Amino acid sequence: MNFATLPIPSPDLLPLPAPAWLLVGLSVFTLLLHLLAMNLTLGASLVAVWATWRRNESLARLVLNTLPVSTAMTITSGVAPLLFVQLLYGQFFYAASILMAVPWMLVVLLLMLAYYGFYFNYFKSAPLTACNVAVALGSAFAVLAIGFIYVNNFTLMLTPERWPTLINGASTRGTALNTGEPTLLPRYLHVVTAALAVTGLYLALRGQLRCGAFLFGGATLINIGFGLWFLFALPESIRNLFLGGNAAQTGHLWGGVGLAIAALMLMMLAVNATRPKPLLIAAALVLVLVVDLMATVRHFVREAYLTPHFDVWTAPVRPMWDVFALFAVTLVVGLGVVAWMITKVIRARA
Amino acid sequence: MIQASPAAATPRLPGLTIFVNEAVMNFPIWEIPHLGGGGLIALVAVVHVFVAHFAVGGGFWLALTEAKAYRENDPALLAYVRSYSKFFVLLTLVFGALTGVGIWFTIGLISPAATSTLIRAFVWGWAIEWVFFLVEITAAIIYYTTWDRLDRRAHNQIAWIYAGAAFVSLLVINGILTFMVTPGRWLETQNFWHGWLNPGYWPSVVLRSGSAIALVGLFTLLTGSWLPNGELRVKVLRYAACWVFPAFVVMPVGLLWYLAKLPEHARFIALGGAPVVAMFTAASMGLSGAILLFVWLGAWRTPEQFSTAFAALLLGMGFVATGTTEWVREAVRKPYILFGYMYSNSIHVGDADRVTQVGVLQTAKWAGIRDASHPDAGREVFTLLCLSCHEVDGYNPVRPLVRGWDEEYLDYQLSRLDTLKGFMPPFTGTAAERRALAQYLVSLNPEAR
Ligand code: HEC
Repeated sequence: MNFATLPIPSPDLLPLPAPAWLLVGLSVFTLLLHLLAMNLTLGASLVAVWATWRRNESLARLVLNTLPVSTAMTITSGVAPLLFVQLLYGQFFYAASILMAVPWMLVVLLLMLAYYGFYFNYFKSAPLTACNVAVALGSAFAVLAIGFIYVNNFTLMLTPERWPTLINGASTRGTALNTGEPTLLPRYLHVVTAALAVTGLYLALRGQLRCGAFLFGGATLINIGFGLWFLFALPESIRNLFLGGNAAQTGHLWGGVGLAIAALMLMMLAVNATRPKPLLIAAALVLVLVVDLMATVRHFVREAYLTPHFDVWTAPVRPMWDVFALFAVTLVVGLGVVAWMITKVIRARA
Repeated sequence: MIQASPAAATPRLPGLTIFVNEAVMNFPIWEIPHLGGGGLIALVAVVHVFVAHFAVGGGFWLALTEAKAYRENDPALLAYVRSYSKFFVLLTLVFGALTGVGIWFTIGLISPAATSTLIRAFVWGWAIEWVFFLVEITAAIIYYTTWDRLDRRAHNQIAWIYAGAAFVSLLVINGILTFMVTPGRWLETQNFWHGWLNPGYWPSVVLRSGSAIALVGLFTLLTGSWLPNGELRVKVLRYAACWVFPAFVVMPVGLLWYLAKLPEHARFIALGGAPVVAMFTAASMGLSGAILLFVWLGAWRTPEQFSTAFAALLLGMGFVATGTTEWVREAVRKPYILFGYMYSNSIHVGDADRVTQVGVLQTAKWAGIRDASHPDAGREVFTLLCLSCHEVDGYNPVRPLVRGWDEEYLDYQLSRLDTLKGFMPPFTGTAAERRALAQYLVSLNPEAR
């Protein structure tokens, strides 16, 4: 493939408003927050189908009460990484989005349906009926579809060599998907299974110990398999970076896998412990670290794919430190206000 | 300088020519039959603005009305506020927030180059607004789930936090929205503050605040009309009218001030230079006047007879008024997407001369046809230069506009496109491309020849 012939848009004329390290760092960090919330929403929406179908009132109550809030958190935390990907890799992101514009726009519609479904089941779920099952199923399906569309877009933006095959001329009806991509399926399954694992841990923490532990353990074990499939579906030059080719990148990936196994062992100890809470909290902290490492690995993969076309580290920069400082202050104050509100609520219960 | 290197042809993109480091017509174009990109943006944006303005006004409404119920020791009013908070959350937190995300998705697909500019120029502004969004969402969820848990004072404080955060988000976003029409000194300096605190900023804050108060009044008329007949219903309807009235003092002030701050060209379009736009401006003002009159006659004078259907009608009129106002804002921005910086068809103003010399088929990265003598070249030129504002049939359709025009006349009109109605950018292409486009446009009306 002669890369020089690809219609890759030029980077925006305006320079980056901060050094690349800051923007990439924020992009990975905010993605971590988003992944945690998204995993909970995706996983809980699947557990909700099972729990309503089996008329498991206590489990259903727990996930149905969680979903409206976790969805709000998913959306809010998702805005930030979406902002940074457009800032850093806009020329790839917009081009890929346009090629699959119709499914991409569908995300908004599907999310609205899923979200109203969550609220419906939140308000009307005692006693559980077939209607709750149907709504839970519809919402779960919508959320799964959104995930699939995302994986399509975020792989298509990495493979400009596929773009010319998806369009004929300057305009497109925007109905493409990236189904020719070998990593598409393993990448998607890896994320969905990770979501089930995170949700399992959440359930265990919220008192559904056995069921949560089972979900977490099963999903984590299966996901090692999906992860390996994903790894071996990557182009060889990229895969090798994680098999010793690059020490730091290899360390991130396998460190993450090791910590996932550590979290699994903590969970096994917790199931048989008389006081499981401290062990579960330890497992949760380890899991956050795992997701953080995996989000970083995801970034390494993106950079590796884009290296022949673009290097974000050499892009022109003209920092706007004054506005950034205002943002930093706003963030601290904003988080303070959020914390204040939440403590008010917790205190009021006591 | 343009560095062109003719590249080996790929099967689907024959004769692809690549320009290195040239940000000219970079993206493929999403073709939406009939509706057009402009139509889709308008649809999503109007729906969102309508609910988002309600969300901002609604914060103050909840805080003040809850406090009023405590002060007057009116449990019925309090129960009403409580049920209102559920309606409010379901509408703003889900529909409002998601249509907001929807606008982002839409503009990125329809105007990627302009979206990218807005993000690069204002990323920390977006980030600041995101913090307020976070506070807003948290406060809204806490507010409607803790009616029985928090004490009155704390619960009311949460409403004030929500109202404050929502209003500040409006203040932040407003700078970016007004930038697109009145970028002011930013064009020379590219300084964040010059762009954000641009000439249109404050008048637009006044206008949008007025609209936020008016809309929460109209929504209150709707929810109030659902109440059973009696003392509370009358009280709520009159109270709702009290929100609508001041808005109609605030909004005209904002509007006049805003018009005064518009660039000469845009003001000319809004005030009669283009009859359609002037009509819409008038319609927006006429509708607002009618709403005011109906609220006074219906809700204020005769609240007993005020029906849900009538409330829905008023709300519908409010929706149309919001829609026409946003449409006018869009229209006065033409031929630019970012006034003075980028044309609606994503060509940077600074690049226009180069594109005209070298040709749009040569400079557009995704053009499928590079040769102006190709039989389909005219259609491709249309896609690249005109599709952002015209469908062939449908949204602002070009077919009826060119009916009866022959090739010579069309070619001549295209050469002075920017002077035709004041809406359009200059034709940026070579004489051969212009001729190809003229031939294509003539072919749209075969019977007329
Ligand atoms: C910035 C948006 C925009 C772009 C880009 C644009 N137009 Fe228009 N055009 C308009 C608007 C708005 C009108 C007014 C429509 C009306 O009066 O109903 C118009 C009117 C016209 C008319 C009728 C003019 C008259 O005097 O009656 C023609 C012909 C036309 N456009 C052709 C084109 C062609 C060809 C292109 C591409 C080279 C183009 N336009 C690009 C917005 C645009």
